[in-house]
Amino acid sequence: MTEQHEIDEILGDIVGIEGVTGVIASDNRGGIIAARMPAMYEPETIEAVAKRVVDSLLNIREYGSGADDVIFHFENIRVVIKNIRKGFLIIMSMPDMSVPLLNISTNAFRKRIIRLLTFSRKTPAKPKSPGTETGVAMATNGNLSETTPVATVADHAASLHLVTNQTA
Amino acid sequence: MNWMDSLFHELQTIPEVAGLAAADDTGTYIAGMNIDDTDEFAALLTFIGRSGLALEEHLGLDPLVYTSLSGKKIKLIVHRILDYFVGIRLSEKSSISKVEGRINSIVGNLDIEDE
Repeated sequence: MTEQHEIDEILGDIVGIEGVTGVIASDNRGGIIAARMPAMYEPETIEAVAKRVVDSLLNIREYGSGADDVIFHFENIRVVIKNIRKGFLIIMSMPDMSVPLLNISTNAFRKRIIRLLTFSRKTPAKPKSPGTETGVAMATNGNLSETTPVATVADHAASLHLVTNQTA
Repeated sequence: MNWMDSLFHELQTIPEVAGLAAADDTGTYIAGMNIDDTDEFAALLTFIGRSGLALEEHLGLDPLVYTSLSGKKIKLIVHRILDYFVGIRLSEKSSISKVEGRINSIVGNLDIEDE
């Protein structure tokens, strides 16, 4: 099983938590690693959300606030942004779910994703033949299976490494 | 603005509140207390608030109520009140989840009808 599939499975576990309605794993540039979002959201919407969130978090970091978690509380939903070192987890939950409960429920999954991303960074990138992009399709609840491939896991790992170097 | 004075006065009674400020949509500092870097802080409030409003638009969500931000160096709650972003900076050792209920109650009971 690839890191990508493992992360996708972990997101499936997170969405299985009572009160959680969707989750996106993005890299530090807002690129989608995997996502499990409600059927109503188009892939373009999910990508736009991830990019916006990541831009925000990176700018907040620039301010020197060192924010680990940001939670947007809307009337009908809560959007929780969690730092996973090489990217972010964007979790949508019902507003009445307690934040400490959400943290406890998701922390183990968050750590597993961090480990996977850290491991994939060390995986040597395989040469890719032109035009044979195997791609990492955005994982979804099924309705968004025709999404555009983002990158191979090795590409993704390489990009993470670059971002890490840039922000160090 | 009377409502802002009243709000700041009430929020100050919460021991965990370390500083307060309000900014408008352009990131301009309007008022505050116990905030050193007022211009930067106002910009941060507006930036966080605008990010929430962008999410609201992208995802078609109901209105943004507030945003909380926690990290090693900062604990912050940002409320959207009328056309302003009101930032409540908490002490480093405080817990947002323990304080936000009291803050939300004060903001929710704010009388802004006459403003």
